[in-house]
Amino acid sequence: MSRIIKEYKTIQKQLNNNRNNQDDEFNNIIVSLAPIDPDQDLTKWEAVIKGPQGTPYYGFNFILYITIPQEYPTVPPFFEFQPRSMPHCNVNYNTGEICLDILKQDHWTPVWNLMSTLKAIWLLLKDPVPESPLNVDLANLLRFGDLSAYNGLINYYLNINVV
Amino acid sequence: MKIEVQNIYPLVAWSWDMPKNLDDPDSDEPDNANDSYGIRRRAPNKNAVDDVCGICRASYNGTCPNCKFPGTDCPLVLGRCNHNFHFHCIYQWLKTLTSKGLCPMCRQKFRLKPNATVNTDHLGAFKELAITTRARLISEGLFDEDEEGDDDSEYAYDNEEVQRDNRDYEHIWNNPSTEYEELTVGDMFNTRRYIDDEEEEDDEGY
Repeated sequence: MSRIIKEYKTIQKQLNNNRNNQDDEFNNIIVSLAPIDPDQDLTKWEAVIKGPQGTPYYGFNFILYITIPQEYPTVPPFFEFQPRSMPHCNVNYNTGEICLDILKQDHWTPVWNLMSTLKAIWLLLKDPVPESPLNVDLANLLRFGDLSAYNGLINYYLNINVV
Repeated sequence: MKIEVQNIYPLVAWSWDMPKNLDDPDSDEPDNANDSYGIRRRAPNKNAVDDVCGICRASYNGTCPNCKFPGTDCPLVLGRCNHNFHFHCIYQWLKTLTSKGLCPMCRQKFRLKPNATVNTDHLGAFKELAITTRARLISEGLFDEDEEGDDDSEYAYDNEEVQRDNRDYEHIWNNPSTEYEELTVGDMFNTRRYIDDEEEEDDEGY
């Protein structure tokens, strides 16, 4: 647990610095990353990230819920998108479950932290992997190269939530 | 003039004994070996002060999350891959089966750095860990035989074989002619291969 306290301090500092620093590629992609109730419970976190430029997600913000297991950092943190908010071929739309190797115990190493994991998820939005889909419809469209249908379907889902 | 010393406040600083140039252990020359009092003095090691353990993110000279007092209570170990961790942190990581004995930073097999003074107390612990982890991997059916090529794929690992492997392992470990750094945690996967190689080399020699 003491590592998560340390991370919390570092994250606060980094997010503050990022606002003044325009050079970092990841600058400003993280709108917020903090425990839901910092005084009581450091095992439940909430993050908000921006959709990457050049993707249908651009212009939208996405909420993630993070659960820190007791054994962290020996075991990975549990990340999921807000249910029914993320149309992406590696995300289960209904539950928000994310398919990303580093989030699985087999590929996780304690060197990852919340910030770097969040960046990895952001990069997944940029580079979807249709070979291991949790959203088969989107993955099929992408696999067959039907980008206009793919982008259209994502836009459709994203805009349901806006209304 | 008479001076009366009323109080003396000794001030002591310490840091882990680490090779300065991590890529080249031989370059470990102290800056100012002996001062006028004959005390072997070494400039504080910047690495040990600034760098943090990759697992808990606390300073090398600090403690792991579960310890209160830095120093010998919460020692540091140096990896052969030049990644260093608090003993407790890396031990806990390597104890998990999913770590596969790999360094968390570079995913090479984690081996203790040879000729590093701070490592010497921990060789036994890492050896024991390697043996038990290997046995656990085998009993869980997770033993990755592809790890070192196909040499071992013919073997069905049963308890007897595990025990024999462990004995072999002990043998190499206790044999002073074997370089100890070849046989730390990461080697739990290729103990037999290591022995086979040795024997083959011998055969060719005769």
